[in-house]
Amino acid sequence: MSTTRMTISIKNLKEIADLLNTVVNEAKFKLDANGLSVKAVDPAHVAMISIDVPKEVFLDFQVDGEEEISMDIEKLKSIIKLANSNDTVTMIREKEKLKFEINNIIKSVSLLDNNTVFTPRVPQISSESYVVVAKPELEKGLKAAEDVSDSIRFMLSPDDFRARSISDSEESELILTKELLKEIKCSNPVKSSYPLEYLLKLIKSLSSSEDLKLGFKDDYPLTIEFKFGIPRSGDATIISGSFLLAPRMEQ
Amino acid sequence: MEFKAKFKIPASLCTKCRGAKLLCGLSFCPITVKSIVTPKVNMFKGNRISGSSPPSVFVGRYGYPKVKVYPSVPQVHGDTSSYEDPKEWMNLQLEDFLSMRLSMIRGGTDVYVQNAADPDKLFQELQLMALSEKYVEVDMTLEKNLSEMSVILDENTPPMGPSAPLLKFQSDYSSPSLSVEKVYGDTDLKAMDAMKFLYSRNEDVSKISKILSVGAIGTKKMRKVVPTRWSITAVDKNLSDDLIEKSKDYPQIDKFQVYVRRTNGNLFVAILTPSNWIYEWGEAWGRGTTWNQWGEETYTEIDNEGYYGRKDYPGIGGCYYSTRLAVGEKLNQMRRSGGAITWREIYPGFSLPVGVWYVRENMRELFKMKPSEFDTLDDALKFVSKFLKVPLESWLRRSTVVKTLKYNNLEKFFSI
Repeated sequence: MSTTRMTISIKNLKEIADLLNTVVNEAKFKLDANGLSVKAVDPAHVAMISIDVPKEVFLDFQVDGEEEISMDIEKLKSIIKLANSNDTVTMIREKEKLKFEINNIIKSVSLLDNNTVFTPRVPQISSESYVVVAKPELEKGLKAAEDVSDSIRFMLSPDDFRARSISDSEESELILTKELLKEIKCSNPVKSSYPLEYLLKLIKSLSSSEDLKLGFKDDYPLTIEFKFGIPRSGDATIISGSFLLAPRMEQ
Repeated sequence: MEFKAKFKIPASLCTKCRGAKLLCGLSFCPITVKSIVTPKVNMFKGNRISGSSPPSVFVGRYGYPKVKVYPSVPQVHGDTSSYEDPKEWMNLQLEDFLSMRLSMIRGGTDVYVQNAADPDKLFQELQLMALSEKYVEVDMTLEKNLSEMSVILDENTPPMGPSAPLLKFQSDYSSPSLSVEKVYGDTDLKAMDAMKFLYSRNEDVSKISKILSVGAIGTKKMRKVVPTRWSITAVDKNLSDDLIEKSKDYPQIDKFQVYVRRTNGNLFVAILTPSNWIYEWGEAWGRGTTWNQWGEETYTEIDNEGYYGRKDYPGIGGCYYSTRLAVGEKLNQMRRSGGAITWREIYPGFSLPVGVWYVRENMRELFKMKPSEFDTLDDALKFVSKFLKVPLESWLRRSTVVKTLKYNNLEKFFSI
């Protein structure tokens, strides 16, 4: 059996770890000829994330057939902290361990038993209504809502996208009219509320993303599709991910 | 676990602290514990001990499947049942409790776990002693001097006194209770059913785990000796499984019921929820407490399960099931179903591992109180936050039950 060996930039690995950490502490990575993919759902089954890292994103990617690697995400993050932001890391599978090589540091960690880490089925959702917003715009809207309420209501009409939070004493609203949006598809107005804490955690972890595609309908889970990562020079392939979030219960 | 520090503590620290501040960062003052144990060891002259065992038998887990079984006895004659009764321990100061438990001297003998079904003479005598309804007069001869280092302070099992290898053993074991006699004699009865039967006959869970640990229940061929630590959790888990399944058939409670109990160095909180069965047990260890000696801040950990329970052992340990048992008892006593958020805060100063009984009995006491009732989870949490020292937000960050109750989950829309 040949060795499984991957080299990736620390920035990319960090963003993957941070994103997974918004929902779970442990994750199972699938490796195959296309690259690396991972799916995870939080213990309350409120949010789900899936990330696909094409093999072109890696500086080196040697995997035979299919393989699964389960890891503690906190552990992964503590290894990432050993690196500088411009470093690359090489990961080598050694039986039940994964060896990390970062500059002049070598660190081996135990992998988790694949059977103990749950991988969810990710439903296929085609959104009839969606909007593409710039991440900094949405981030501002979420932050404005943060101290108002623990949920935020997304509303989409053919003319604009709004995100509003209301409490007894305070209110916040983000209004992005058609011309401020990168893309909009909506024939009938739709609205649904979502828990803010999950959205804030996600947006804080998405450091290199520019545009977010939000798809939803009335009182239905929200899909956020995003691309991220530092492409290798001369190569435009980057990492894609999607986030699924259950709507807030109507009170 | 040994009570001696694994590193040298400078005298300058001890003289400033004198057992009061635990400056060494240890979970307990090794000098104080030594001062409790040493006189007991020194008082013990020669190699013969006679006394009344509550009865008490401890089974170690090292070397499994060849384990050490220790009959335990204090040098006291008469009714010693309180030495083995968690309900009595609740009324004692921690030092008195420790002093009592650590005064039980243990003589150890090797037993293969599978020999439970066909025991030799000595082990059969130990089994019968463990089954006795009343205290048992015991005469033990030990092979060598007691080792102070052999006392057991563990998060799962109650503290145990010093030990030495057992040379001779004699007891005049008394008869078991009728229900214990029945399960011991019935070699067609599965261990799980035996546990349920004993529990239904009001045998205390600590007694049931003792009977399980000496391999006295189960179908004939399946009888095995079970290390004490495992037997305690096995009983808590199996009995709570049964209670919770039963509770699911009852109507739901109609409000959020909040119970709060403060003890020396601990806060216990339970919120019973008007929902399907869902459960979490969380512990927040303050700086300098038993399992957070060197941390910079309070460490919070929560384990949880949904309607169908969990498949793996919760990382948080045996207290998860001890509390689950107390919750199951409460729901059945109310003849209601519901879910439960259960949290414990442990404050600096509470720094000795005493065993899961402490959590079980405190949760049982907690549920004897009259709850405060609320219509919404937010109101219940707001009320609870008044008692917490750990910020509510840091509990909520880890709480799965709160998120599950507050938010819709994806399964409502897809199968995942």
